[in-house]
Amino acid sequence: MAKSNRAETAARAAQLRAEAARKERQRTQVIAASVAVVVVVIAVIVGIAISNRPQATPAATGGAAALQKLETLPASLLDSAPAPSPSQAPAKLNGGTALTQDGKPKVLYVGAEYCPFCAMERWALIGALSRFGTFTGVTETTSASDDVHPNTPTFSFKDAKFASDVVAFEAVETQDREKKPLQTLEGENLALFQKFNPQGGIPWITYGGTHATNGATVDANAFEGKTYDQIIAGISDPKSDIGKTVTPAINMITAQICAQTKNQPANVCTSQGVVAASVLLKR
Amino acid sequence: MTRVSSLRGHVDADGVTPTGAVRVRPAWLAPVTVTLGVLGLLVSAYLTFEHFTANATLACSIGGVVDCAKVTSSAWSTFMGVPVALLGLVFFAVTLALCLPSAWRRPEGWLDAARLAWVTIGLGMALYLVWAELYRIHAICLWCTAVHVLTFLLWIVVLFGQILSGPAVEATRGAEAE
Repeated sequence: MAKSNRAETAARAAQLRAEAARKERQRTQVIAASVAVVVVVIAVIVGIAISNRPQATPAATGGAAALQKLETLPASLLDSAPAPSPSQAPAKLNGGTALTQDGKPKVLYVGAEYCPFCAMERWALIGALSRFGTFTGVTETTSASDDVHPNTPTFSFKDAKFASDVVAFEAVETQDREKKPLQTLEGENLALFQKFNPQGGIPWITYGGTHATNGATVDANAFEGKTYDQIIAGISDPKSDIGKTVTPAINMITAQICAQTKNQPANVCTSQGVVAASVLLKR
Repeated sequence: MTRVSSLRGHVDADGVTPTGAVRVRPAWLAPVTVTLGVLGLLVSAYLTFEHFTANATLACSIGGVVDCAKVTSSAWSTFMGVPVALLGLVFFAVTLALCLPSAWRRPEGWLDAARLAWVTIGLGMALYLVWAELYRIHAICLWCTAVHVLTFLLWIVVLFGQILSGPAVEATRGAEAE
């Protein structure tokens, strides 16, 4: 009888010890979990506070070097580019008539400095036009901080001049990167823009008044978070995400301009990449 | 907090709940997690519908810091090619299944770890999307924020609910304790 009581008491004591140990474990877990919750809350609060700090305009560094490389892309690189997709080809403007300047077909660009898709399209446009002539006055900037694809590194055409024997170029940047009015679209350019782009989307680029693109012809996602150095490095690598979208776009634009210049200059217009892209032209 | 007398419980030495034994849960655990799961499922279903209808009827202001369409149509609205709204829908559907009263009563020991891991993955995804809103899109989507808050609350409730659950007891006694 006494032996049985001792055994029961020992079992009871063991049970109490186990319960005490479990309670202690539970207390530790509650403390750890509370700390984890507090850490998450603090992390979110700090993240919100930092994101709300006023930020200076992001430094657009590396733009000059990138521009220099963009204007002198090797022909071999563009010839090794993937073929453009049909969606990259400019649309034919029904009722469009020849747009010229000084007897040369004119490329008219309408965009804005804040506009992220203009920011991306300028890379392809500069790359293509540089095969026909020389830019001056192109400055580096970024798209707006408070829009989609914020602070996309790019260049502004605000003070740009373009010299070429075979094609003319005019750019109108309607707003700055703060979305304030910058340059005015007027006269023949305004009439064209309103006639063929009544919804007013930008970037809108007409090639010789007979063809046009509305919006970026490059993949916006490829530019996400990239610097000037990364973008130009991507363009120089046909296998990169940027290379797969920008170099075909350059060839497509080049082919469209060649169609306006009657295949001048010949070395550009008969290059492998341009000839391959020309099959997509809307005749 | 818990309604169980923990003296009755036992767990194997290796921590595995014995066959037929269930942990006694706090009374609030199942109803709270089911409620949060249903709310999350409804909001995610709405966001998924809006995603596939190009935000045609998205009820949210635009043009300011709060701009749902800007968020839901951004490059960050998909994750590895899958719409995040759809991922949210799947997340809450699975969470709801894991948090049904019958699931809380199941004896499998691994279920608690799986459930906590699942809601922790959900919380990690929510924090990633909050980061994208604050630092990449620069806009907040109120519907998405509702999903993020529900996910955070679910994580807290599951975390503390599992910690405060009593030890495993035989199924019949567990039922009595409930």
